[in-house]
Amino acid sequence: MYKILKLPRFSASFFVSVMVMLFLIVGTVTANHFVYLVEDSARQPGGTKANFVFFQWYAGAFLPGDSYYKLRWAAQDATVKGYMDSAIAVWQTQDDSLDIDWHGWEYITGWPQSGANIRVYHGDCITVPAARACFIRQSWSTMGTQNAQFWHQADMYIRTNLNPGTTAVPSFFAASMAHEVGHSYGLHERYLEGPPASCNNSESTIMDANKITGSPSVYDHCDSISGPTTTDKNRIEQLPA
Amino acid sequence: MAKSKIIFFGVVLLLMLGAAGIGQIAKLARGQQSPVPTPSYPVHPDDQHWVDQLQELPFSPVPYEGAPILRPDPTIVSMSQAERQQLAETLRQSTTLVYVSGPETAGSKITVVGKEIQLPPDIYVKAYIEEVMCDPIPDLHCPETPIYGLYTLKEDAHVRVEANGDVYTFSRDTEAEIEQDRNTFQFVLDALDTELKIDPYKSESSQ
Repeated sequence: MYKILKLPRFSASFFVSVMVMLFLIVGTVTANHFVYLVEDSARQPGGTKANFVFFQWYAGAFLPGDSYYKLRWAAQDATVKGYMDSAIAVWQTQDDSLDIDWHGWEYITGWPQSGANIRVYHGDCITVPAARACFIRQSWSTMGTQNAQFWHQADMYIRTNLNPGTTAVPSFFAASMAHEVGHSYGLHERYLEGPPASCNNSESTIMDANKITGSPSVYDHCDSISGPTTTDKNRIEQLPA
Repeated sequence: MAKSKIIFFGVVLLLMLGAAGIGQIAKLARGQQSPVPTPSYPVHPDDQHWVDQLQELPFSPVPYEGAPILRPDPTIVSMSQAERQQLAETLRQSTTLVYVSGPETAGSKITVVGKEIQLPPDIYVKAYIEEVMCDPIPDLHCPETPIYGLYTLKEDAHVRVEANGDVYTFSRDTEAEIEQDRNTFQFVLDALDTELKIDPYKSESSQ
């Protein structure tokens, strides 16, 4: 009798233990984490309005019919489309160790494309003609219940004319566009504000500024890079995969 | 019999402890051992206070009352796939789209250096500029962000209102145009108790 009962008691306990163990292990390794950004309150329209600002991948998911995140973008001409294609590509090289979907970019035709989450303009930044590039917010989605804001649409501007007597390294405009794409992920400037703006020598990041060196002068990115660094990637996602 | 019971419960206990331990190890590997992982990169001295605040943020996808407002780097919180889908659906149903640039902003309120300014119905925010990238040219004015680019709906007058409260007219060729900007946006100058400044830079070509 004892031997008959012993086996089931042991098996049940063993089974429960194994199940608990499997639950804990499986529960941790299958979690698909998503990172959201918390934004500088000074850059929220009207000052502090929300506790959290999610970066824009959610905005892409707002459209009915989407099964996953898509960030739709449009370009004013072939030149800036080319720079943007390159910028997206270099950011996607950071994809391997990230949880978020970096492949959600979708180019859509037509200009001006009102359905785009990001529109890429070729020309002077509105109101700041001296800027090489700028990032303009068009609209937010707000959610009062969680006191959160999600940006929905933005415009990028890039100016590709250079000052007289200067040239640029081949990767200069690609770097400028990659910098703007960094803003679309929620990153801020990392250079020392001016006037004039100056390079940040404490780290290597695509969110740094430009530099002009040599004679005749040559435009280059402060860190002579054309895409994001590990530092940039870490800022977007702090949690390990 | 007593010995086999001890061995049996010992094995069960070890399995339980092992399971719990593996779970914790996995959590540690995912960075959940503390509310916020310590940044692995150099922190700019100007940002240190943000990092300090960050350490106080709980590990939770749901903002809590009194949560500090932080800069986006270092980034911090994660959500599971299920939470993400649920939130996306909630957002779809409950969010309100707010325009911060474009004609929809005519007659809205803007806030500059803590002062709220009511725009007239015929003036709008053409551009809410969050970031600018400037060329490192001596004497080139690189504005503080965020910037409000204010225009009349007819686009016959415009100014740039910078984060520090400076108001600039730009891309103007004549005194008459500058005067028109000054007159049209006098209410902004009054609200910010400042004078209209002139940005001398003119782009030769945008292409």
